[in-house]
Amino acid sequence: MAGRYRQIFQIPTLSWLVEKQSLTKIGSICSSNFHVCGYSSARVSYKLSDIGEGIREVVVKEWHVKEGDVVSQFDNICEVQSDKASVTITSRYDGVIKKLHYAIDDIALVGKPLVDIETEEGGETADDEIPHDLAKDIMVEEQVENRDTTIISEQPILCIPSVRRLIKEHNVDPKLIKGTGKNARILKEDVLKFLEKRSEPIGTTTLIGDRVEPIKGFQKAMARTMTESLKVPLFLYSDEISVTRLSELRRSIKSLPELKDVKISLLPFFVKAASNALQRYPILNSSPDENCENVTYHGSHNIGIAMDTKVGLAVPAVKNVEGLGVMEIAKELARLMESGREGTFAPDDLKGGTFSISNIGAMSGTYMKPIPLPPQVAIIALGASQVLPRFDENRNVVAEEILNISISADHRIIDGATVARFAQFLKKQIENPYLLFLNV
Amino acid sequence: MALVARNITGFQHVFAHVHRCCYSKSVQQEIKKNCSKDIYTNLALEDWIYRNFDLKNQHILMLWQNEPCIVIGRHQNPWLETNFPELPNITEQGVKLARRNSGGGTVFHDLGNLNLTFFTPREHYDRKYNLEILTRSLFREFGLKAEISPRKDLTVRNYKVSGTASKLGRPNAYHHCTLLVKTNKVDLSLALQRHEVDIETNATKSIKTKIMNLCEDNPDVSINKLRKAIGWEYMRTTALTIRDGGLHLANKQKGFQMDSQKIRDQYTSWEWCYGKTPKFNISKTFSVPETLISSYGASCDLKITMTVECGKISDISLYIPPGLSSSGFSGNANVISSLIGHKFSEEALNILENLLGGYVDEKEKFVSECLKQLLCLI
Repeated sequence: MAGRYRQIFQIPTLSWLVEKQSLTKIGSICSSNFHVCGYSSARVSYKLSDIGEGIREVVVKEWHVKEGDVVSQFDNICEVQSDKASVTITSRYDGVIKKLHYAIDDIALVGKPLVDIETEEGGETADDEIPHDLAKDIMVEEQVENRDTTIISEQPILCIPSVRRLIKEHNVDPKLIKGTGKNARILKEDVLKFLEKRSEPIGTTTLIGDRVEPIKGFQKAMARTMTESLKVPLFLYSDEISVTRLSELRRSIKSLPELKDVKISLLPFFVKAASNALQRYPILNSSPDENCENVTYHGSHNIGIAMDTKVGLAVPAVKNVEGLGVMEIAKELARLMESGREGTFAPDDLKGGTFSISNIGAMSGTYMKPIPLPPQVAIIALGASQVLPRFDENRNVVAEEILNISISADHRIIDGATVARFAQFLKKQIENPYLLFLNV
Repeated sequence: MALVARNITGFQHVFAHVHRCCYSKSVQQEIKKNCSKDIYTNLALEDWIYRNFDLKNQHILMLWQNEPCIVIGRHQNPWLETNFPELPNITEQGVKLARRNSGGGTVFHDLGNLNLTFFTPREHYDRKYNLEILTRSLFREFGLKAEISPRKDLTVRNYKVSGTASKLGRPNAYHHCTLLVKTNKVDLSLALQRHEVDIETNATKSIKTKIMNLCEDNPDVSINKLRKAIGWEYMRTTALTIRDGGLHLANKQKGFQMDSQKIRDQYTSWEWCYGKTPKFNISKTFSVPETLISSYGASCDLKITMTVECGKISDISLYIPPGLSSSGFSGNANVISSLIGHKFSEEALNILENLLGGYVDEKEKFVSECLKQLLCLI
């Protein structure tokens, strides 16, 4: 028996192989030239990869496929046996089996062609695999997505190199493709199906409206957070604030030469006022845990500003407002708004908010019911300012610039009285702007 | 543990391996002890873990035992490797026959034998490493010096105490081995006794070696102690979780309830145990009684060769001596064609019995009797 095996090793051509492949004569081939010439560019010689433990030859015991069969990657091709190990060889490619290089009970050599598969991709050589893998699990690196911090990918993404190339070519985020292969591998069909569903390539704007946007959903994130927020019982408090004096202040500040380039709106003042109020009523700057058993009071006031950006609703946060002056806040806001216009937020900007302000009034609107962004517990919405007639102390009608604010708070941990007091404090600061700087 | 101080080289050995495993700090190791003593259930569990478990961050060591049974390798021939007709009569409940999914030779299991299966991902498959865990634990706990043979068996004083086999696939692989602790050697030899059969096949042939029970070297060795010792050794190598009751835990795995019964059914099925036998030819020679031969004096042996593929009789050839053929006997078509396509099992025997009654011709009867004798192997 041993002698027979040795003989085969030295003369690696087997008679039935020669019948089928009438290329060269016995004896003049060296085993490495088996798969030379005569093949179309899409035909791949799939070599037997290293079994490990220094094993150089195995016995083919069973074929699971025959010539002409269609195989997908990871399908079983054959069983080979070496020593006492029974090894299942799986396919690396999709395609059609064109040739089986061994019959049952033949000795197959490691590193030599096992089967020929005709694939759709042309010109790929079945490189001699490094010992560990037949189909290498490629981990597609999680692309740092500036826009999207709420979608978390927990699984590494598996696919073969050719599929990965396809994904890259089409500039697709692999996290969004649902893998239907084994272990959630992304197969070529998955990528093609995904591309069909999209009406335009990635990189263009996300439209808000009827279009179904499957990607980097700021919309998707919004949908998710809002659904979560619905679980929270909210308390809504509205009031009107007279911003006449604030507007005056703003106008006089704007005329200062140093601040010519800085765009100042009313918003920075509101942010600072909110921060001062949060100092007084820190419970509005907290987060409950999931079961509402503990409340974390946040040290810093990271006030998120809800804005309508190029990519949808985003809430970037101005960090540590308690330490910033109004001008610094204004500068930071300007930067964030610029990012919003471009649609390019740094991931840090979108994270870490503890309180939010929505300046939807900048567009229009008077009364609203904003929804806090979990795990935050409160949000203020600023309506548009209008000049309206009001009565002063002497019961004279005067024109006041009125702005309505609406505050929503998580009623599980914040009671109405606290919100009312918070709102009054805020109002006092805005109506008497010098208090903003005195922090009284 | 006093043993630790004794042999310094043994200890260094441990360290070399601990160092080697440090890369996989994040890999947990788990030990599963199966409650079932049924070979088919255990094989099904093994198979299920191999096919479905995600072993990337967790290696598993399964410890199991079986009631008396004989387990043949994936590509072996049960009629060649075992004392097939006698199996139901050995021990009170009879010896079951099972085919496992891994390669290698035939082994006999009973409750004096401990089976171990090391599950790892394909990339971490390393038989030597696993066997060294065993040698270290044997030494540490019992002072037994076991060696690893080139065929990856464990030997003590040149007697084999453990056999090894493995299965590699994607993404998982397993390496399992036996450990003879207190096996009934009489039953073992009876079960593994091969008949004088002329079977031609390329099926994997077992290699007979002299075996020994561990308890013969050290009477202190018992299955329970050994299990604990190996468990400890396995745990020492990397960070650990130890759990008992393989079936109970496996039941928590998604799909296990449904799948395991299906897999067990596969292992008990005829198609798997016998149908997976690689193609073989079985022959037997019979001397023809003188009454049937016109006197020639030449060779009067009838040779019958049966070709069995996938466990079914696919062809029967008769080599008829000149003495028989000259008397007009051409080989009875009836009896042959009626057997072809049938399972190489009692089924074929029964058909033959039925036909035998109907034959009048002496020669036909004789051939049928010979075929019957051939099938006596079943």
